[in-house]
Amino acid sequence: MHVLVIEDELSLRNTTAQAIVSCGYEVDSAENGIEALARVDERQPDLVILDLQMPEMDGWEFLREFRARESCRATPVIITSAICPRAAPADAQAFFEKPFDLDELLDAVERLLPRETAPRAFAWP
Amino acid sequence: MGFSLHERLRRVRDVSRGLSQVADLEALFSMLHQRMPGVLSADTFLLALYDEHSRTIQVVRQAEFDVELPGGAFPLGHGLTSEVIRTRQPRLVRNWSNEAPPVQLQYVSGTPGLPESAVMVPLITGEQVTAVLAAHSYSPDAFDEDDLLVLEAIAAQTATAIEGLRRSEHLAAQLQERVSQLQAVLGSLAEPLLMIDAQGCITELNDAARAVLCIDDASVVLGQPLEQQVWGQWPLGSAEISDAIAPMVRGLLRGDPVADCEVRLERHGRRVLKFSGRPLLDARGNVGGAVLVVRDVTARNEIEQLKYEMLSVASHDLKTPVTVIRSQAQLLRRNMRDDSIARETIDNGLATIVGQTDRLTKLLALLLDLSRIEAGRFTIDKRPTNLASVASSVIADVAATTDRHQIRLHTSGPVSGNWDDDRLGELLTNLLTNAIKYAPEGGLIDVEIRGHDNEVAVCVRDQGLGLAPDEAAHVFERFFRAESSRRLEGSGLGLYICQSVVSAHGGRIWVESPGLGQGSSFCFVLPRG
Repeated sequence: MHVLVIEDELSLRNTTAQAIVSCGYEVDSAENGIEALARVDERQPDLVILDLQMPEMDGWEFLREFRARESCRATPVIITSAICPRAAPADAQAFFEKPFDLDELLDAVERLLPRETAPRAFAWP
Repeated sequence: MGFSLHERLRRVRDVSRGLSQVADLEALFSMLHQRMPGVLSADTFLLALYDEHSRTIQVVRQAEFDVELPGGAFPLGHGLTSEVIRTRQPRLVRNWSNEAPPVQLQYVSGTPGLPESAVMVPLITGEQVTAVLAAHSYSPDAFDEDDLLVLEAIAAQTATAIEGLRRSEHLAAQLQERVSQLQAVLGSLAEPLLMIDAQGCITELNDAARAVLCIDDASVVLGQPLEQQVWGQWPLGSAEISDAIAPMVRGLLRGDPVADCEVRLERHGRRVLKFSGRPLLDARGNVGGAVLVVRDVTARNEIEQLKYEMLSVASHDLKTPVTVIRSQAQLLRRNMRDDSIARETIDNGLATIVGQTDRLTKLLALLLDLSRIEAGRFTIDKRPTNLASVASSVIADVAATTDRHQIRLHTSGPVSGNWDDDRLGELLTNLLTNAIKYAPEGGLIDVEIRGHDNEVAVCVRDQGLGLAPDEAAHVFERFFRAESSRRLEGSGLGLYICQSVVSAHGGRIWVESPGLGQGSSFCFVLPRG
């Protein structure tokens, strides 16, 4: 299982990546939306952790581009943001406002990302 | 008179009717004169006021037969009129030649001779004789006691009417005085204020309002409707003002409660004017106009905007290190459950936490400086300082963070002065880290310190990205670049604070750049202090 962490802050990107790795997943990371789309095209992620405010291409725009890809329509996305948006993106599966609780974030990752053996527990419209 | 005394006294009531409604003394005299023949036959008739203070008799008007004539003034003397005033008693003169000093009257009719008989009555208000009513005849024995009684009855009514007139004159004078006082108050009010009538036309506009609306003394705006096109000719985007406040004015004139109205003007520099209004009610409770108070809230608006920006940027930027610290701590706790955790992993995690707390501390110091600057409380602590040694120490620290840049220090002349060495250290650190950041390819950075007689000039020169001319003009503004990055770190707030440090020392700071891609020089000059 492969998680893509998209976050412009190096320290937070590394910390989140370490935590995901400690849960036994593979991690790739990107510091903005453009870099993240390049990663997506290299390797399809099974889950995305996405910051909203980023330079170059922000989280909102990345999400539109991401969902426009046929293979990414059903991929779960967890949003993390310092600013609570008036309406969280409807096509994200979870939202965490910074400073978030790492244990809760990892719980959400585990909930949304089925183990290799488990059947997919959700369906996308 | 062919009527009985009773009938004549009843008619006095008719004579007196409406006396209290006349506008002035002249009209009062005319009314009396026209109605007099119904109750009293006389050849001449006069009404005179008496002013106790100046002992002057002022004939309001006089009449001979049907002709009314202007009056005149004469001092209290020894004539019959004066005698009536002095004695406060009515007087019946049957045969003037025998009873009283002769009096010379010259009327238009040219009637020969002197009045031969008269009735005269003082008008008494309180204890004071305020006026005299007199009727004369060119014939002797023209009047009797009944005539005196009739004239006394008329005099009593006239006294009341005069008192009423005096009261309303007094009130009018008082009102005029109040109006003058109010106008003086309005004129001296620091609060800009304008008044409009029920038609929406401006009736008052004080100096403060002229100033805030940029209307000079020569511009005539009184009497102009607030909504008229002519407002567009005013300098301060007055068309925008009249458009914005028109609904408010209409509401006020309907007597509706209205909310304050803010008008943003972008022409001639940004200004924000806030209009508050209250309807003015007349004596019957109808809306007779409105009063509008204008406040220039530009500065308050900017401070509110800055507070908002500071808070939103601060909350965003503070959350990141807090999130990292919390996540690292939670991650360490999770890892500690595993006994086989590498010591290096723990060290790295703790180092990250320490690094992030340092970052938080710097952010908080930045915010504190920013709020001090905005509150006008940014102070420096001067002490004897050698700028070359401050620069050497800063260069050593900054150089350790880069392996792509070479920082060189050049000094000439005396470089010591009375300055805040800590603040100057921060200033140089800021300029050097900027030089490194904006020269990502690396290269030479020259720090030049030149001592002159009374001042020291410092320049930090890089070979980096440089600045476009329009950018150079704005780099020292707070939140410059904030539109794109919205971050405290690297937002241009650093340079804003640099400028404050230099200003607090009485110096100046500027940037020179030949253009994009050609590097830039940040220079400042400090008086020796």
